[in-house]
Amino acid sequence: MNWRKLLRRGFGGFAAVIATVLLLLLGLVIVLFSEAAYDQQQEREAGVQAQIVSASVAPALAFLDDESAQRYLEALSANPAVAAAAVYDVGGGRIAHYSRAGAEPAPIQAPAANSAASGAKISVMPVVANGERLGQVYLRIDALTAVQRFARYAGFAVLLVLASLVFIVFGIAQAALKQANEELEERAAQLQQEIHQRERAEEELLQSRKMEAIGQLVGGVAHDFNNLLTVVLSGLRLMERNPDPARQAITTEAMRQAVERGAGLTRQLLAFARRQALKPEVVDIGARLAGMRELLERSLRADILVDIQAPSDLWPVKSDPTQLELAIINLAVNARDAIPKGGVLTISAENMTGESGEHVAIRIRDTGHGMSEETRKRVFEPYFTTKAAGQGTGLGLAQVYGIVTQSGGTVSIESTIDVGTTILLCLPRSLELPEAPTAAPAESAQLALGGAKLLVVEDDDSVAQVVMAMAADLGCAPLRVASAAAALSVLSEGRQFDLVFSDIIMPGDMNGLELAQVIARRYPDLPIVLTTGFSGAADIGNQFPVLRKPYEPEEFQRLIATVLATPAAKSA
Amino acid sequence: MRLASILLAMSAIVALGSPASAQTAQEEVKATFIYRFVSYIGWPPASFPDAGLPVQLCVIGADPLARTLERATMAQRVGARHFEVRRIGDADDIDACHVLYVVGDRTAAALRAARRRAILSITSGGSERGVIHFTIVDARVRFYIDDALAEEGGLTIDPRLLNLALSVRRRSAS
Repeated sequence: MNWRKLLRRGFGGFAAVIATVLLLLLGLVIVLFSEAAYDQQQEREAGVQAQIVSASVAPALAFLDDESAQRYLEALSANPAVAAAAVYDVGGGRIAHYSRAGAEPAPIQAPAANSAASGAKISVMPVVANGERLGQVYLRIDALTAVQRFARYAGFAVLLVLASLVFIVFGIAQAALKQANEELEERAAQLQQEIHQRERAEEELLQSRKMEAIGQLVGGVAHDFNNLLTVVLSGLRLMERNPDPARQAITTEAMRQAVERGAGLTRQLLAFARRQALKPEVVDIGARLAGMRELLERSLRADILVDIQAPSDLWPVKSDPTQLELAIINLAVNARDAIPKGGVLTISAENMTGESGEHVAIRIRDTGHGMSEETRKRVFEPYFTTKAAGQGTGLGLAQVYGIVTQSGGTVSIESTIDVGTTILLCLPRSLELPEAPTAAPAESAQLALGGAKLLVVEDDDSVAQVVMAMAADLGCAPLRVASAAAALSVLSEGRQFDLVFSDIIMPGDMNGLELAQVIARRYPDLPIVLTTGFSGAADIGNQFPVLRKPYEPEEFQRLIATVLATPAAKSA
Repeated sequence: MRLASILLAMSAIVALGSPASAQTAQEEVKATFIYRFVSYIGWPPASFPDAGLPVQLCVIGADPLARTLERATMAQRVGARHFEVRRIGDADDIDACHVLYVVGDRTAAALRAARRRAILSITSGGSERGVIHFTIVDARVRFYIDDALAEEGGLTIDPRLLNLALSVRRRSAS
């Protein structure tokens, strides 16, 4: 690992470099101070030694005893600091001198005064007894040699270097740690992104499978719609020909029922086709099956009787509801394809307590041609199909197997040739309760609609006409504009509204969702309801209540009243 | 007396030439030593009843040296005391002396008189020796010290001075 790079990168390393430099500077300052102190000490030492010598040799000088003076000086050899010393008589003549081996001897003539040449400390001290000057003493302490100086600071230097090393190692460790952390963060971010991508891909996959299932149903749906349209068309012809009011009432009722069935069918198709995030939740299977009833009854072939039996006391299970619906549609489509000509598809659910615990069992039974043992063993393999090319992808049962096992359940098949096939899905009971259905709006909320000022944003004139009529029927005071821009301009004029009701898909720069976001920002107290018939406008989120087309006047009334009565939306 | 001094002077002159001048130099050295000894000698308090009293330097039998001594001590002090040089003829007249330099034939009598008194007796040459006895070694003035004799007179001698002596007769071990 490149430690320079580490040092460059990490603040820890940078701090360590700073600390090391500071430490070395501190060491330098200490050495300089120590040197200065040592210098002064040496100077004092020279003075003190000279004083001692001066006092010691005073009698020798007084009594002209050169040998004694010499003996005193020789005694200085005990002090290794003293390089040279000499005693001069009153006339300046050197009468005794001493110099350490290798050191320069003292001058022959008495020097003038204290001096310090080339780092040496020289002290010249007069010898005085009873006020009488007897001579003088010269004493020199030489500067430390490089080796002595090094020896003096070696220990200190070693400590300094060790401390610096500690700092550097600490810095490198810090930098390495920092780098490791950064790499870890990078990897975590990558992982997060990969997870996100995978989730997206799974959602795309689910969506395409749903579309594939709808594709399988589309023939049946078209057939059913044809029937409904036939009812309406022939009803209209009947009404034209027969003006009898009683007859017309019967015909109108039949037409209304046909249109309602068609509306219910498209609602289910759109709800199923809607993009949804994969999210396991507590599912009430009975409610789900009931919701799919019309779709299954209408979209399979007319010669197949669909029988759905779902008791109301089914236990909740935990699964992804969209995937579960897709699984049932896939199984229904398979059953349809297995029934050659006329038959019964039974979908039943019941609570079951077995050795492996409590389950909700869903049975999809058909009276089709059944399958061979060999086929039965392979049906859950991806891309395995018995259908002709272009008829199926072979992924339907693989999806069924996937969602059931993901939910902790099992799937099994019983099949007899020419008798039929039964698929059994066992989903474990969930002890959690399904999310409470939204409370029905109070009666008083409906009263709040009277006189409410509505801003209706709708580009389609015929739809707008109907909405305006419904709103007027409910006692509201509606104003219609045809685009988001027009809505904002009306609002900016300062006109007061109690609620904005906007279509989502509109021509122009701004769609209904964007309009809602702008309004929420500018007029946070103004409630907004969106409406759309297009399932592809998916990511509406749940920021705003959405009324899905087609809708009944009662649904319109209920949602508008609920929104107007919600304190959060009206809070000042 | 006069005759003696003349004789002495004559002998000095006779002794002149190069040895004579050397001798004169030695006399000057002795004079210098004599007053310098004072700094290293301790007298009993009774010797200096008054703080301002001068140090009495008594000389017997060495007039030229006395003159030299007078000249040398003119400006010298020991502490607050100055020196007073006295030439003494009679050995009985040494009561007030602190230092007694004696040479010649009166040496023995003078030493006897000075014995057991707080007087620093100094002799030079000859067989009679005072507390300090000058001698010449290699043409230089050196001295012996009789510390035992000093002790008898109640004097103390600075060890540094003792160190410089050619030899020391030690005082009693007690």
